[in-house]
Amino acid sequence: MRVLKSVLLLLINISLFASALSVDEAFKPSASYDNGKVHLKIELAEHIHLTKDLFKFSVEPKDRVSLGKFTLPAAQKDDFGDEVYAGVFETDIPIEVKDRGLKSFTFVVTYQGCSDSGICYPPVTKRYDFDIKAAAEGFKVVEGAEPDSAAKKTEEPPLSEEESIASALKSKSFFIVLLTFFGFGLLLALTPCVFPMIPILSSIIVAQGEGMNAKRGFILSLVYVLSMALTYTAAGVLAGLFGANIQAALQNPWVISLFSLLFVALALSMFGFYELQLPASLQTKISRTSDEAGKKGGLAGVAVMGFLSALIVGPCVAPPLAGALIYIGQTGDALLGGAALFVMSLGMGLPLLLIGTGAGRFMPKPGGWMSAVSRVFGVVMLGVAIWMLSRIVPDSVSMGLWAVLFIVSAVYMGALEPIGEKRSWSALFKGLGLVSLIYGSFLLFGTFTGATNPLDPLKTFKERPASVTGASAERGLRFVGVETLEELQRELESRKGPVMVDFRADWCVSCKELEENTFRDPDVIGALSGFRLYQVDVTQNSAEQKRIMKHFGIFGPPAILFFKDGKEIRSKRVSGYKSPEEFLEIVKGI
Amino acid sequence: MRKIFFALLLFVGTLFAEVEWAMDYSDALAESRESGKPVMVMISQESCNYCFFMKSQVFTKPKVARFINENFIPVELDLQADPIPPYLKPYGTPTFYIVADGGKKVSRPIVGAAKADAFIERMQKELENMGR
Repeated sequence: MRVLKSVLLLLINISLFASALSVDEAFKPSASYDNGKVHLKIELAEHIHLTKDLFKFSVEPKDRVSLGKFTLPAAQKDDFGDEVYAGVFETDIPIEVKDRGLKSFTFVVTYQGCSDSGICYPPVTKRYDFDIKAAAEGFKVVEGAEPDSAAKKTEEPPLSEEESIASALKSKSFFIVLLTFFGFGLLLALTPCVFPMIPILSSIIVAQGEGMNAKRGFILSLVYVLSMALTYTAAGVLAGLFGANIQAALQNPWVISLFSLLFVALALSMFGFYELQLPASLQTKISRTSDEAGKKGGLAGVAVMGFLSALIVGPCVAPPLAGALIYIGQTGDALLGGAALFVMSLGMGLPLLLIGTGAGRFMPKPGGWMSAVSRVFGVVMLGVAIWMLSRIVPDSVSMGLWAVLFIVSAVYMGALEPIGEKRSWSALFKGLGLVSLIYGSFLLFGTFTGATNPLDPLKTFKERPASVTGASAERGLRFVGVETLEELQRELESRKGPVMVDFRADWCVSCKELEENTFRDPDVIGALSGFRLYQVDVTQNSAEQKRIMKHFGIFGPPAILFFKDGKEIRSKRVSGYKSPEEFLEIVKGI
Repeated sequence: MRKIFFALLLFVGTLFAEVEWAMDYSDALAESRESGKPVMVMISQESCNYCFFMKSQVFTKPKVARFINENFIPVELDLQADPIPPYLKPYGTPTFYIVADGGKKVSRPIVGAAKADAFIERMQKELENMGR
């Protein structure tokens, strides 16, 4: 083909550097919508031609409307052997509306052409918004049309995680939406997100002690799950109504400290220092309404725990939550959004229900071992408290707390006591206790030698040369900090090449993971070498920081946006932690 | 033997008939500062037949390649993919500019494709206009 072109080129007679027309003078496009078809007309100036192969058409929103089948009119061959149009280009493009409720759509056309004077214009993209209602009843409604046909023809970029959830919501009817979200919830239940809830629920059930059975276990779990679900629903509806940054509010250092304290209080009650109970008057009220409730705080306490758990686990389920919130924001339909979130959390809670019911059924007779189990959960809760605190306190402090937890637990397990007569169990506990003691010692040791990761307390010794003061911080990517929206927009407009904007905060666990793992990965650093890197720190959640997030439609950190030539590549948007491999996959196509 | 000689001669001939493009714009500016030659910027883009024509039919001619290499530090910028210096405002491709003194002196845009002699003539005229 190239050879053929070259031969033809020898025959061309190009007028010498003729002063050519500007793009707007060369092409005069117009479009109208009627009777289910977009009529596109492009008037070409003299000596201007359009290249047939360089046309691109698409319609938005792409899940509710698509392009019908059409062929472009016949074209003539130009000197290079390409098919081109001259004079006036006119064509009709059928539009297939898949959703009766759709009120308007956008028709997007990209075209490119050259002048016979020897100059080619850059591609021009025009967007036309059409009102379907105004175009009367003539339009074609296609039901159950395969969505793929549109996607293939228009070569639209794939949707990101958030967008695909948002679009699933948009295109389907109410009940399908709810079913979809129940499925999402079930999937979430299989992620470690729900894991912290299991010890909480189990401890509630264990704490019930005597009189525990499957029915009661089920009721307790149900109340727990329902209150969790209601929390999400409320969060969803509120976000829909106010567009507020719920995620960030829940991650406020004060809120985190409060929850952390609450967990310590709960843990101490697990150790039997005191019993957490509702006031007697409330208790009697509750026991009247429910047969067996009331012994130790009962259903109300469980409900409160469910409510708190939802807040704690919230950040972990950020991407699907953000998807639902985007949808609510777009439609203002708080009812559907709220219902969807409610059903999603029910799906998330289903395994918890099974565990709760099972725990009642298979629970052996209460005895001394139960207090041991309670203590284990107490330790786990203290762990949760430290984990939450670690978002807002310096790493060395949380490392120290971990060390204390492990060492004190070891003492409780009898690591430093003689085994005595009863060998089997005591030996096991002492052994485990010793392991805990040694690990705790390493942690304590690590704390004073500058280690920051509780899973790798001796890191400073392993990587001597690299970790000479301050060097470790510099090994990662170098970001340019941005503080105002205007500053960021200015930077984005002036950069032609690829740009990455990272939203992070000190209290955001996933951000820390990204920074510790992904952004330190040599392959990731390599892949981002051609990128301009900007970072927006939203730790304070100040008005300006909220404004930036709102502008880009971000619900909270971590969020990573990619831009090229000043335009965001929506399909590449990242929310939540991504491993270096996943991240590389995302960056690859940019 | 003779065949090999001619083949070699041809090969050497094509070697000299190649425009020695700089890697990127900043490289071109640096080379320009060292050598004192102005930069010749060619703005091109994908699916631009006239850019292809210039590169395949005009710049491959020994006299054009020699003219460019002797007088300029040539560099090619993609209108879609490369950052375009703000003082260059092309509205189509190919567009040529002569840039001297690190961007302080810029020629008028030289718009569109042209055949070998016309191209050389026009570039020489633009050089004279710039006082070179």
